[in-house]
Amino acid sequence: MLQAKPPSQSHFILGVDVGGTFTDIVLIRATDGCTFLHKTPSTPTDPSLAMERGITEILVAANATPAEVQYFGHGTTVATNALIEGKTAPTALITTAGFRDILEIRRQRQPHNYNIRIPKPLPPVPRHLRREISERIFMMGRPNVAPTRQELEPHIVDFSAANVAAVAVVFLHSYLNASHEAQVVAWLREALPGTFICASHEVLAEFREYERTSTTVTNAGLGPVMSRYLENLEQRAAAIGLGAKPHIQQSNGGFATPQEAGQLPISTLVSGPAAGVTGAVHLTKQAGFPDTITFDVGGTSTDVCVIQNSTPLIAREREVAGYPVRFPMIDVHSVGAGGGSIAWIDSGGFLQVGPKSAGADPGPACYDRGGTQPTVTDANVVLGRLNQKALLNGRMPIRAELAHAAVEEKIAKPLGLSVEDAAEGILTILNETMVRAVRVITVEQGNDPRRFSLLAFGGAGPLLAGPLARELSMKTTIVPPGPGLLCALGLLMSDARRDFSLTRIVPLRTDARDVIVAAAKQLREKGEQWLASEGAFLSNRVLDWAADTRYLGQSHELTIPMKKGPFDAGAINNLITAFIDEHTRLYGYAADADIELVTLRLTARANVDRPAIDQKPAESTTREKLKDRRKVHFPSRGYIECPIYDRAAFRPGERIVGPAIVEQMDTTAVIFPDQEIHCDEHGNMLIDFL
Amino acid sequence: MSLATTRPAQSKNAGTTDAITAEVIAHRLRAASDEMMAALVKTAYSPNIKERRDCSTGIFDGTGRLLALTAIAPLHLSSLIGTIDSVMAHFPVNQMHPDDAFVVNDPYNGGGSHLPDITMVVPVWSGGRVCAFVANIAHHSDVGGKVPGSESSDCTSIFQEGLRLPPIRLIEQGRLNRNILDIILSNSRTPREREGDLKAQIATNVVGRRRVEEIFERFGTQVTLDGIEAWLDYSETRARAGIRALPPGVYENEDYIDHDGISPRMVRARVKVTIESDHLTFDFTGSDPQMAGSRNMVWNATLAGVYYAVKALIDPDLPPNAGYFRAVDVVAPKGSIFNAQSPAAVGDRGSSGNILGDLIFGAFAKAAPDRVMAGCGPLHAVTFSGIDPRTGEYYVDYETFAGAAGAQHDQDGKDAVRVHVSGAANLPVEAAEHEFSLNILRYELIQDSGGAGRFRGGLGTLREIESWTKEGRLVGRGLRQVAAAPGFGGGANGRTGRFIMYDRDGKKTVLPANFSDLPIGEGERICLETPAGAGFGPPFERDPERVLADVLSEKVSVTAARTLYGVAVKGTGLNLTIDRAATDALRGARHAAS
Repeated sequence: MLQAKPPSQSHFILGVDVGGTFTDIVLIRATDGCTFLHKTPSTPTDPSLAMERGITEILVAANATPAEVQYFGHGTTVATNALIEGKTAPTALITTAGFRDILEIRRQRQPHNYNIRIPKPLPPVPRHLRREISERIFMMGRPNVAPTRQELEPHIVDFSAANVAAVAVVFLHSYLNASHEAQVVAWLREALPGTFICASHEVLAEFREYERTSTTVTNAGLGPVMSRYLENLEQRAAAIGLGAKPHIQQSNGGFATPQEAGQLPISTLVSGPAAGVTGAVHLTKQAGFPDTITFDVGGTSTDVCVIQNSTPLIAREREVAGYPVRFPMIDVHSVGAGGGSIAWIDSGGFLQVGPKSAGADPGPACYDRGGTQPTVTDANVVLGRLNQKALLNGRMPIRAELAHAAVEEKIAKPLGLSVEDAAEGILTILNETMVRAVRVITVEQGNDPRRFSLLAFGGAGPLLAGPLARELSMKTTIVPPGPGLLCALGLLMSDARRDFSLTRIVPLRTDARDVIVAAAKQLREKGEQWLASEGAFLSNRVLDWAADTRYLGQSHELTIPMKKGPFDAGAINNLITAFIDEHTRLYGYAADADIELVTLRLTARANVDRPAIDQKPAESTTREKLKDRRKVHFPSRGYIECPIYDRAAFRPGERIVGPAIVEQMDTTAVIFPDQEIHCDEHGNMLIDFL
Repeated sequence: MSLATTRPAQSKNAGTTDAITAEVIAHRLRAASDEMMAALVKTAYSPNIKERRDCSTGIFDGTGRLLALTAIAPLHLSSLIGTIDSVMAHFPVNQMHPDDAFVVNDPYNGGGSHLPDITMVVPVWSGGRVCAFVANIAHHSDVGGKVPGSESSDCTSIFQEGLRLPPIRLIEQGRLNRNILDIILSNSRTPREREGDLKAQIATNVVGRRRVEEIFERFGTQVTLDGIEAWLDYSETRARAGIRALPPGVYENEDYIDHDGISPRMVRARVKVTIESDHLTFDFTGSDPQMAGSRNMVWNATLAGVYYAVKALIDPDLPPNAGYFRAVDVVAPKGSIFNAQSPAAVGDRGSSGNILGDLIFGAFAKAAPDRVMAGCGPLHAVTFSGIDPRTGEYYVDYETFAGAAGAQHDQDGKDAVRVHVSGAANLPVEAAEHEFSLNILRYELIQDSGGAGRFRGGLGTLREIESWTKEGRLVGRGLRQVAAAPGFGGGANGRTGRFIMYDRDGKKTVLPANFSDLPIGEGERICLETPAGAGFGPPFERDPERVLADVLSEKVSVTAARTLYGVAVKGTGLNLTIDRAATDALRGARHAAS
């Protein structure tokens, strides 16, 4: 059950984001919004160690007691890392006779159409642990075949002998009739106590057996890993004496209890980017920009996501470690280009940027750690956009001449360009990749990027946002107070959320109403049960309905929201009308064909009572905002003597006309000559074209 | 007669456009083509385009040179080549108007490689003249002809294969010619799908045209045209750089198409690959004359096979455009299986395309053994049609099932994948059972089917389907039911494929490799076994641990481990180990014998 006590005199909310390299911790004093940030190296063997240490340290810094922590949001990459590193639990599969190879035949495609050298990814369950039993739900022609306990026995013996830690049960058409799966799960739980067992109808009650099998076995393989992790986490939290239990960030933007996340670990895949987007939703809503593209640029990759009407778009499927996981998650689109991306000349003589990155080691040439390949960072140093002496508030010394030499040697000379033109060229080509990434999630989905503002974060987002916004004629660029803050904010602002679905392929006609209502009742029961189990501290409980629908004969569905739910007498007709409207809006035509329902969807949401966050910009200092001047190169303008500002000294209401460079500890913003800055009351920097 | 794709050499002078601007223009042309593909897949109606992505999009300059192509299935790599020339031959540019759109599907008239592929072309205007064309091509799952799906290997003339459209103006100055649309729709068994897909194709070209216009507006006509030259030069340079890494020489190979669509007969396919410094020539002289059935490849289809192989063998990310094609010459005698002439039937050209892939890889095996895969198992296809008793409605279920890939010098062949030029996905069992009156009873890998080798060939698949369809009819086609996928370097051939029919009493009949209009009664079953991939290197050199792993996973039987690989495996169930002494004896005996 979720714990959240009524506000007391002094209380804090705590967010902990455990990444592969660092564990980020944020602590906010609810009474005055004072924010404490802390970063500590992660401890991959037992991530809760770093967390315990970090929490203890930040509490000391904030002069707070553990008991005063009354909300605890937690993001973790445990599930993602286990998949990528192949460290999932030994998993077995029980499936319908004749179909154990569904997982290996996949959709019968090559991994790449032209690169034959790329092998197929290893299946998450090896063939000798994929076992069949005579069981079948038929659509016609034959009676169903029920499973028997006897046929299961030899498999149970082998699973024990092979030290299997998790078993997935996936039968054909289990979304229509779950009884066979439920029976086998009951037998397995009895025979294999302590083994993580999950059935496909519980993980994903949707048709398309390959995707459902892949999702279910992935969940099974993560179950023991995640459960163990969360047990440790809860014990540590209790040992520290925190006044709240952890709320686990999910990839759908909501949080789950540790018990839930332990049962459905796939719900936490890509929860890191999801937390960032959730924080972005909160921040842009507060700042008055409901339609925003997030632009999160790290060292090796860039994540972009569409937020429309303060709601992030949701994807239904994502491939992780080569296998599809079908589960609702915030639709974050990634491209392999970032601040550390290496620029090179390919065999045809074109300049390429990425996907290779110099990473942290050796890093860009200007770090003087042995890197000789020019990176995006080096190009920015050459142009004076990045500080040519040191980054990270002086902690990272920079040798500009090494950046210059790398760009000159590897790019400028071969292309016959000046070093500045070569550096501008690197950024121009990089920007093409960024433009493409944003067009994929906007134009290709029927959205006009000009309607959106751009939220630039991550270490290199504010550095690279200008040309992107210009090329796509986007509105205001928003630079939040700190590039790492959004993730932490997301952890603290998430609501409880769980998504349910059930496939029912029936024509949308009034004679199908009984089938639809019966399915909807099943879903509603699950949703209400879940809300009830989440405890008394939830408020604003909401059930949102939607339906995946298509024209007869199509193989793809459109998810249509059902505002009044599926029980209303006019529900079917409303759904038909809404489907035709959406099909016309997206594809430009409506067909003269029958429409069918494919899958009903229910999202249960609720707010958790927690102290309000009134997050404030850093305390006022007497620092001078203009800290330096240097020559900065701008396209078609050449070098301009440019003022360098200290972000920390900016006050709300500040207005500055470009060209300008704004430096802060962990990022640098470039204000082009045709741009101006306006600082809002929340500590955001808003950049507009003049 | 030699037919070369090379046009007169283009100027290497990219004008005054700077290198970075030229590259940005190239990026945008490619992005425009990709956006067209996204629009086509998004707005299409039928699963064949939407899910299987049997389509491609492209951009051409005003003289018909290909600038950018987005093709997910490699067989589409050349499907748009020649289309613009043919359109311009029928409609001179000075008779074109803004907002015109042309449609064509006749492979003997610039329209792709078989009739189901319908191409739509739109001119792009800049500075008052036609500066470019955008085009897209989509596989329509029925365009009439003698069988549902319009693809039967036993057609003997293109006139049996469906509606033939020479280049015609479907849209004139923005006005759709409804008469033409009606002709197309009334020639298809599935007109509703066709109308949705054709509308998607029209919408796709609107997107493409706008994008290309934006490029010309943004950079100016001359700078854009200069950028285009630089872009073509770039691809040519890159292709030539890739070719230079290969050892020069002449490499020949021969393979067989084991059924001409009408009867089981060995049809010879020959290639002579000449690698000269930075240039490749593929000469198919010596291949048999065009076949009686529909497995013939028109010139375009052969080019697709060659361009696919070049990309796969020298540079998988090589951007397909007219620049890269300059580094490659193709020769195929007119009237041969690789340059079929009207009215030869061409519907099932995809099957031969896969043999073409093996043929070329086999030739390169001698030049670059570390880049090729051994012979592959091509697809087997069945089309069910009839009346679903649950709804009383007539349906057509067109599906293709993967064979497997051949092994490579350092890795096993991929099990159950589409190979070479074909790439379509399967239909989920649960979707098929909902949509059609069929029960899928088994879908699995076939033990011991992969050709033995130091690296094993991929396993073929078995799919058993029971029909409850009224008036059910079957069309089937397969290759490598006789001429197995050839092993390389001492590796064994892959197992051949077959079709088996079971009646209600379980009585078994082996079907021919190609058939159409075969009745299938309620409760009768068909079992497809697709051909497997071949092995690479001598099987006795396979690491015994790999053999053991294959036995544990039941991909290789204990018997085959012993007889084919010389590895003795002892134990039962999960407790399997290598019997070292027996293995040494088996392998030693082989050594002694040789």
